[in-house]
Amino acid sequence: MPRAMAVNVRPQREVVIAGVGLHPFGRFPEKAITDLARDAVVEALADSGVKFKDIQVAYFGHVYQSGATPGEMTLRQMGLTGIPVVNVENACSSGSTALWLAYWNVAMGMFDIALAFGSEKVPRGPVASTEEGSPMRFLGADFMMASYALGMRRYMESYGAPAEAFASVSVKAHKNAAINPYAHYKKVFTLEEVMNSRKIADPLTLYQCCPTSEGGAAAVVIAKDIVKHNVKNPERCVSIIGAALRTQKWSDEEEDEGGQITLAGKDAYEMAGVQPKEVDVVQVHDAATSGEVQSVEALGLVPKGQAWKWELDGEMNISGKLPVNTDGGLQGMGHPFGATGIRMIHELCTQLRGEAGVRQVKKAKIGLAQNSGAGGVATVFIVKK
Amino acid sequence: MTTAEQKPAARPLSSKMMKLTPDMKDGVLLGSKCDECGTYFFGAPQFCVRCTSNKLSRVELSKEGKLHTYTIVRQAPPGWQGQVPYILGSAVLPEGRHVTTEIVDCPEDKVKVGMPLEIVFRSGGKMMDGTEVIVFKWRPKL
Repeated sequence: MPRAMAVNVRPQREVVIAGVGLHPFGRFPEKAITDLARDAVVEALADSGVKFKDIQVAYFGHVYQSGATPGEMTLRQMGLTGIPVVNVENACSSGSTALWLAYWNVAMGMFDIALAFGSEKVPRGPVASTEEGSPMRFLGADFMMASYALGMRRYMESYGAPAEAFASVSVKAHKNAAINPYAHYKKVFTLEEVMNSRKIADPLTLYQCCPTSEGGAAAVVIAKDIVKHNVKNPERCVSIIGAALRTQKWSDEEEDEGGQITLAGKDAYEMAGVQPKEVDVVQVHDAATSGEVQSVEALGLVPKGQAWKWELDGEMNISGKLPVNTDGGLQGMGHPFGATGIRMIHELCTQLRGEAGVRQVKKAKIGLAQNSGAGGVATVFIVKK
Repeated sequence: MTTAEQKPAARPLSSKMMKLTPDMKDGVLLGSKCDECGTYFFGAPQFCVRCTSNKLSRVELSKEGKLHTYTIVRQAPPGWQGQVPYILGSAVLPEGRHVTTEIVDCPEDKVKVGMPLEIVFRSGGKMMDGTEVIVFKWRPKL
């Protein structure tokens, strides 16, 4: 029986990101999700030099499904070219899931040029994961930020981490976002302001929970062997060398510990032939500040129980040992669900291209992006230039 | 309001997760055990998510647990009808499963990871049709 391609083996066909685009994150009452998406797609195409008529397949990441087929509704504004379009939902990792599909389509030779894009308009207020009247709601357990707080408390007890370590993640995020024109929130906060902001679920305070937001992101993915004939500036292409997607796997040791981040990380590192210590710049899912601390450890980028110290010591700053979320992350950029995963890739590409200006990490060659979704899903991408 | 009017009905949150005494003031937690790998689960899943077997037997679970982690929730999440702030605790049963629900009868400053807890049954509010829902909660085990 023929063996299927293992997901931690890099296919022979090299695939690159030729262009990326972003609609600024914020509040745009006059714009629909299709407008946010379209603007990001236009920017990605212009960035790459690829024409819309040469896109062969498109995946659109989006959660709230405002009406049917929002991907098609967006792209029909670009041209009716008859290509396959699929709308993808994987909670907060919808965008990176769309990119995962685009990458593997091209890597396996189904298509040569693919588009991954995503957008969202997230309403204000607490985000629920279950439907109205669900048992979880009667138990008071349907609260994303409370779930993060539970994990945070466990980490604090296990490693003696103070609440200030987590608050410092927000301080860094907002410092980075303040120098990022695309970010939703450009205000800088002191540690005291973060610690004293409204309590949500102890020890998480308001400024440690990512803001609800609106925005769009897009990436053009192309087979390396046809870059010369399709891409404006081939030297700006960024290679995808690791692309993994995993869901929760039963663990006898750890219940509800999100082992999918570690699993996806292992797949990606193996596929890329990269060790964690070789990663120069990182994006992780900081929906709550504790998400950043726990994700970098789950990815083996920092030894277990040490990430809180690294944060306090400033090692995750742009100038630090392990720059994390250099554009502000979910905390500072805001989190329009369908766009976030591709927004992470946008920042990694900007860094690896040396175009990050005041946010530039010196000599960034290898980047890693980890995106999570409620319901136990995680993606990990590794990119290289 | 006449004396002939009936009191609104009350029912358990889920007959798969709990069995209540006739007065609904007490009860037991219900679960399942996988016949193939021996893993316990809360409620009545159709499949063992550890080994994917569909051979599960219904069992009664313990009503005590050890607190694994907790948070003090200060913003009412969607559908929450109880007081705010409230303590949300995740405790481990001897059978290995975690049960996450409110911790009652416990001052905020007395919650400690590792503390022994026991299950009690209390009102969880009302459904849309006015029916009262009885849910399981944790309280400190003395």
